[in-house]
Amino acid sequence: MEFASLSTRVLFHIGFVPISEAIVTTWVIMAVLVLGSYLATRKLSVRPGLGQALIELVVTGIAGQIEDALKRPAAPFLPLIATLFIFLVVANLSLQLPGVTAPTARLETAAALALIVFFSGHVYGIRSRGVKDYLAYYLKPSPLLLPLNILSELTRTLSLTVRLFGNIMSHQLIIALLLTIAGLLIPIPIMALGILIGLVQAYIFSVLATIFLGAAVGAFEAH
Amino acid sequence: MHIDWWTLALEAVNFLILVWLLQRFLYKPVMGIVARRRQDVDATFAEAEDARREAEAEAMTYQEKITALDKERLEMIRTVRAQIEEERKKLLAGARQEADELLSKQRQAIAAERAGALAELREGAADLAVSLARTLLREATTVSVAETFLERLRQRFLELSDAEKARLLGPAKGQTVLRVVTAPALTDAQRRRWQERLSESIGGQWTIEFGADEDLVAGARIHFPAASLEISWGSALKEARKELVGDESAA
Repeated sequence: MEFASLSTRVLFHIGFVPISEAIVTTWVIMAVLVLGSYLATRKLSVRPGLGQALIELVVTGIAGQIEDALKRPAAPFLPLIATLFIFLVVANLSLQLPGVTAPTARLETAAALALIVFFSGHVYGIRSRGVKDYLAYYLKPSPLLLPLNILSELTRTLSLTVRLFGNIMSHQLIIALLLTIAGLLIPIPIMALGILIGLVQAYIFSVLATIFLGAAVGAFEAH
Repeated sequence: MHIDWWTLALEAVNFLILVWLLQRFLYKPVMGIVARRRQDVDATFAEAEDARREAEAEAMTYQEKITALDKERLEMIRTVRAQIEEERKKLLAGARQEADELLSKQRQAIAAERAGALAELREGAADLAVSLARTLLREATTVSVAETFLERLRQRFLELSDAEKARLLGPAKGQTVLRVVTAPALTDAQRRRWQERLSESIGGQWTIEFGADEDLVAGARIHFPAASLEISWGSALKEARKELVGDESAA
C-alpha cells in the first residue's frame, strides 16, 4: 500500500497538465501572500503604523540577516531569500489548518525550491565573478577535487530537498497517525510542535540557501 | 513513491512568479519607504549638521567679535590709562610749579617780613640808641655848649661864599628878622652878646629873635629868610640814626 502523503493527488487538469493538490495549495498561499502584500504596502508612510512596522521589521530583519551572513549588500539576494523564508513559513504552517496538506510535505515542492537555489547559485556566481572565475572556483583548492566539488553541489541540493520534505512530511504523517489512533485532542501538542518545526525548517532552508549563494559569489573567500 | 515532474516544474514556476510578485508588491515598496525614511533621517542629520556647523561658525564669529571687543577694550583702557597718566603728570607738574611758586612767594614774603622785622628792629634799636644818647647828652649839656655851637655856626656862615650867603639871606625885601634857636636856651646876657656878634658878622640891620628847641639836644640853628643853618647834636643824632638804619638795611 502506498501512503497517501507520498502519492500525488491530482485535482484537475488544465489541458494536458495535471494540477495536483500541492499546486492548488501553493496558488492559494501565493494569492494570500501577494494580496496581503498589496494591501499592506498600498499606503506606506514615512511614519509607520503598527502593521507597516511589523512588515518593515520582517523585511529589514531578513535583509539584515543576509547582510550579516554575506558581509555585502542584501539587495540582490533579498527577493529570493526572503520569498523562500516567507513562503516556507506559510507553507509549513498551512498543515495546521484542517484538511490542508502543506505543499512542502511534497517531494516535488521541496525539490523545486532546492533546484531553484541550486540554479540561482550558478546565476549569482556567474554574475558576480564571471564565467571563467566561477568555473575555476570548482577547481579549488586543487583540480583533483573537481568531482568532489560537483558532488558536493548535488548532494547539498539533495540534502536541502530531503531535509525539508522529510521533516514536514513526517510531521504530517505523525499527526495523521495520531488522529487515526488516539482521537481528536491528543495531536494538539504535536501540532504545536509542528509550528516550531515549520518555523525552524523555514529558517534552516533560508539560511542554507543564503550560505550556498554566498559561497557561489565568493562571500566567504579570504581576499 | 514517484516524482510528479509536472508538479515539480509548476512549483518551480510558481515560486519564481511569487518571487517576482513579492518583489513587486512587498520588498520594493518596503525597501523604498525604508530608503526614503533613511534619506529623510540623513537629510535631517545633514540639516542638523549644517545647523551645527552654522552655529559653530556663528559661535566662532561671536568669539572673534568678543576677542576683537576685548582687544578694543584693552586698547581703550591702555589709551585712557595713558591719558590719565599724562593728565596726572600735567597736574603733578602744574601742582609742583604752583607749589614752587607758592613756596617762592612764601619765601619772598618771609624774607620781606624778616627784612621788615629786621628794619623795624634796627629802627627800634636806632631810636633807642638816639633816645638814650639824646637823654645823656641833654643831661651833660650846659649853656656854654650852646654858645660853642653858635660860634661854630657863625664861623661856617663866614666861610660861605658871597653867592651862598646871598642865597641864604634872600632878596631881603623888607624882611630883616633872623631867628636863632639854641638848646639849651641862652641866657639874656648871652642873647645880647650874640645879637651884637651875629649882626656884625652878617652885616646890615637885622632883628634877631632867640628861641629854644629841645630837639637840637645841644646846638644852634639860624633861620635866614630863605634857608637855615644848623649845627647840633640833634641833627648829628638824626644823621647817625639815618646812617645806622640805612647801613644796617644795606648790610
